[in-house]
Amino acid sequence: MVSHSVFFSSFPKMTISIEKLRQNLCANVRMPLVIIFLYSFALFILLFNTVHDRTEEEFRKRGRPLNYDSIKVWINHGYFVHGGLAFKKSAEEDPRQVVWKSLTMGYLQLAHLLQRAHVKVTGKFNYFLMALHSQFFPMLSSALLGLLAMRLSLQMKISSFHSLALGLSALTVFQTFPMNLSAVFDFYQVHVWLTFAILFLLIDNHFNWKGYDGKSKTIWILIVFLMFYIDHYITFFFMLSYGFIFLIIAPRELNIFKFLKSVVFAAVPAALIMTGQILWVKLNFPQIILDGSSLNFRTGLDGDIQYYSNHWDLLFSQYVPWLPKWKVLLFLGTSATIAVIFFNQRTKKHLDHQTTLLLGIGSFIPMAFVFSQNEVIHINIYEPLLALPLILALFALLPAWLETLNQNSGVFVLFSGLTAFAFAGGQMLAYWLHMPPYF
Amino acid sequence: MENNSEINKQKEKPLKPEALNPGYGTSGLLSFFFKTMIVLLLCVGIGGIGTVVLGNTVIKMSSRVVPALEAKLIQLPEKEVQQYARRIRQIGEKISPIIYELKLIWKESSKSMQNPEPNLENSTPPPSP
Repeated sequence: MVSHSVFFSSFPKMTISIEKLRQNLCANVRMPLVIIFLYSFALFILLFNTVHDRTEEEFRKRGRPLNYDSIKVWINHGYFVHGGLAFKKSAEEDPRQVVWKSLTMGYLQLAHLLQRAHVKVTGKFNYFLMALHSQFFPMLSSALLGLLAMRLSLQMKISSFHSLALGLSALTVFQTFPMNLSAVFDFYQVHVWLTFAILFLLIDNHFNWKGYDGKSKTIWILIVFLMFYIDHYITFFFMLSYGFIFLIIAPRELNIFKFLKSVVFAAVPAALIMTGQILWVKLNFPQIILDGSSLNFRTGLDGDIQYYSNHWDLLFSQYVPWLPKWKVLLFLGTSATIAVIFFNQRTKKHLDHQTTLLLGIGSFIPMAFVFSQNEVIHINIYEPLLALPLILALFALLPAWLETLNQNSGVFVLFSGLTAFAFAGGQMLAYWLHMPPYF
Repeated sequence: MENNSEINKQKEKPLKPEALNPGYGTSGLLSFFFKTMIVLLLCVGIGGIGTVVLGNTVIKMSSRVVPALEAKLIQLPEKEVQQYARRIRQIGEKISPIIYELKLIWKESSKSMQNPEPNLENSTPPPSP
């Protein structure tokens, strides 16, 4: 039996070893990076053993038919022949079908390649592979958000271990966010777009510190090109917000002509690809009807009140009853964002944080106001855009600020971690109750 | 006098900070609040994940049990089916008056909730013509 004195004397040793572990964890840049990606992968596995523990039959029945059908057509009847657009059947089979022309379908290309490889090996289309792929992008974007949260909180000179913990908290909440969980069935372009958007925020934050050179500018343009290629509407509003934020409030000087030149360099190839796809389909299959929501419909200026009446409808998510509401996170996250911006403005420190938060919000709010009808109907697609800055503020930046004001006691980091854990459990349960597995 | 000397002795020997303030300045109530919060947050997190796992297990189990039960019910002879049907009918006849009473109570209470009786004592009198 261990005596009390022996037991208590082991505490200092434990404390020393934990301290060593802390130092080792944050000794170099790679270690936290590996930890964040491993943690995100572990969460991915946990999700497939809990909320996504479903049969392949369920993935087939509940999944988005547009995704499945398009990939099947590309594999069986040719990707280039069909211009890479979203055909439900091959053009030969149904030459008068309606084809959706609003996106390049770039977001499905990884799934397309994976399924192509799977069909070559086994001869079958795999729905479980589609589910894995659909959760891969939220996993990746969450890991990048974790990195961003860690990076931003590190700038506030809190301990590297604490900033890693804050990064993991933000990651946990974002990866278990209901709209990211629902990607397993309803996989949309926004899940891929977010990955590139967070990468953009990370790179922009990094190079704005060190200054852009030729190579970094190329990376910047490449990422913006991919964002335009995945979804040109969201990227347009995102870049518009970027320009406005830097012109109005950011401390760094922005050469507007250089900025516009870079955006044009990125946007023009994406626009050419999209136009090329549409023209190719029109030339090859003249009877095909190319369809997409008009500008009037997206803005709600078509005068139709069938779907919505005004911008207030954005708050009620009436067209997505199968997904849980996230009003608590919305309220707390908004309060945290305001608090962080208040701290930034009051102290005139870490203004990069404010820029990052406003950029995140800038991908949602301007679009919500301009394309209001579109967002009311498809609110589940766009809500992760808003959740991103709110989660970053609530689970990483606000606790980091409170830590700096509280002599780095670690209390707020602990509470951020615990709240993130509680939120993750609550979100998983709410999602599972809204989308219970087939009996 | 003795009391004064004791007080002086205490002044001479100041207490250690740990003895004076074992919770680093945190009040007992605040400490209790934080501890409760920690336990609650852990409970919510574990409870959420645990319920999902439990729910999945129950659904999987029942998806195995229900077809087996159905198969057994299909194989039941006609005589036994009629016997069960009679029993169920008997139970239904016994329960139906109670359900009827409950329905009446429910209707009455919902009516009274919708149209509460006006409180005439505190209400202002109607204006005189």
